[in-house]
Amino acid sequence: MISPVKVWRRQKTIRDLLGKEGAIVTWTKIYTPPPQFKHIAPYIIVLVKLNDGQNVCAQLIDCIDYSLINVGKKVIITLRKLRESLLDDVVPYTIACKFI
Amino acid sequence: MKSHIIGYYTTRFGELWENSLFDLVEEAIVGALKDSDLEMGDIDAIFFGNMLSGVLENNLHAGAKIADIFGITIPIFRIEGACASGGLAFHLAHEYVQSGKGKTVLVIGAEKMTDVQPEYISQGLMAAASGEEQESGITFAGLYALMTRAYLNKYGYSKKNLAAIAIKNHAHGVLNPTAHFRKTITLTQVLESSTIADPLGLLDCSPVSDGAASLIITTDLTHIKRRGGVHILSSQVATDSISLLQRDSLIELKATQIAAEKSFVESKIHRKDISVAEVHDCFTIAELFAMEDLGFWKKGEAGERAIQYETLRNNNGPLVVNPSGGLKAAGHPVGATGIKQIGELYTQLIGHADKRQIKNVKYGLAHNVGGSGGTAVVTILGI
Repeated sequence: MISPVKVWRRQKTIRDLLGKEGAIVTWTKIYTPPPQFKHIAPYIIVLVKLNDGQNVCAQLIDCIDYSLINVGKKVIITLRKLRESLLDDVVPYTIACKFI
Repeated sequence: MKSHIIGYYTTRFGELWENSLFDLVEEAIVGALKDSDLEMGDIDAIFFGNMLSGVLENNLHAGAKIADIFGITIPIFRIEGACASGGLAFHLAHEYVQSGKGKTVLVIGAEKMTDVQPEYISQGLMAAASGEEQESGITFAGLYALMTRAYLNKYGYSKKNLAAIAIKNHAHGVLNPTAHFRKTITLTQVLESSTIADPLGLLDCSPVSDGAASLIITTDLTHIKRRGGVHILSSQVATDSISLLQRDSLIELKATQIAAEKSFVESKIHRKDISVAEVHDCFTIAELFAMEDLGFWKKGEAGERAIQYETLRNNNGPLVVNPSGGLKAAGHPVGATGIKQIGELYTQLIGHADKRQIKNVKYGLAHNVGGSGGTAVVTILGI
């Protein structure tokens, strides 16, 4: 259940990740999504090691040419609304990655 | 004194739309009691392994539900550890009799998955992953796909090295009357199967199944004299981070390594003594990891040894893996799998495995994993 309070709590962590850069460690392309991501399937998920040592897992967005996806490619963390809001009017923004 | 398994029953695994979760639970419990020639009055406690009943059906408090069905008042515990729920339930049931709190206990693992659409199952299963992983839109196949790509890249393997596992387990499943799938598959079929999460295809993935399996464990000498049964030589649990992001390595499961090592030490059995094993092949890659992490094969070797079919029955190998068909062919009703694995070993060790009987088996090992490796349970049985 996505509640407004949960989204609000999560925003603090998401804020700290925005703008951070890193490199792709491994990746996959999802063809059988959970219900809230059906509208954008299939999509790429990358596992990224950030320059500060943390690992993150996020969708790769704004990528037109999938042949460019490779282990070691540099990416930057950005903010996206990847899920639909519920009735409570809090938008569940998430992190996503794009090529630098 | 060592505990014994003295009875086992499994339902069919598959799309069982005629049966609710607790229809399956009831069938398996009644079956296990009948198999052991016992009555519910002989049971001191029940341990129930299940993952999704809360998430998919809004049904919890399973202990009271089971008490309701059988008209009993004994202690009943529901245990959850994602796909290791069955193994964990077995572990705690074993601990209960070993500690002397009871003499005879029943373990039941069950799952009902096929009542809902696939995307809701995908979502439900992701409860076994971290919040960040869930938020990203990744699925369980996706998590294992991330690990698969890392492993294939590191050791120069291809999807063919994965396919061999699916082919072998289907060949085994043909001989198992309760398996979800009882037909062989070919390399072409596996390689051409639709992509689920690149590079994993449909036939790299264990299916969504309904099913239940139940075992009876006892230290009661009267029952042991009457039934014989199989010794539980060890049962060990280890954990690791729920999230792949926090793991030390993407190409091994530390929880399996630790649980296996503790299990071999506790049982005083050597790896070369194990001639039959049921390992956790939720995806083909998972069986490659299992063989390496359990210490049967060296790190990086599994891809090559898989295509040699070293662990296929009747191939003159010293160890047959997943004679039941594994999760891939026998099916993977999440909470039931850990119990089915141990039940298959029990059936093999007492010589009742019929068409899938492996000869001269003395010691068997079961390996049950939760999530992407956050929990591992390793059990060793002996006759």
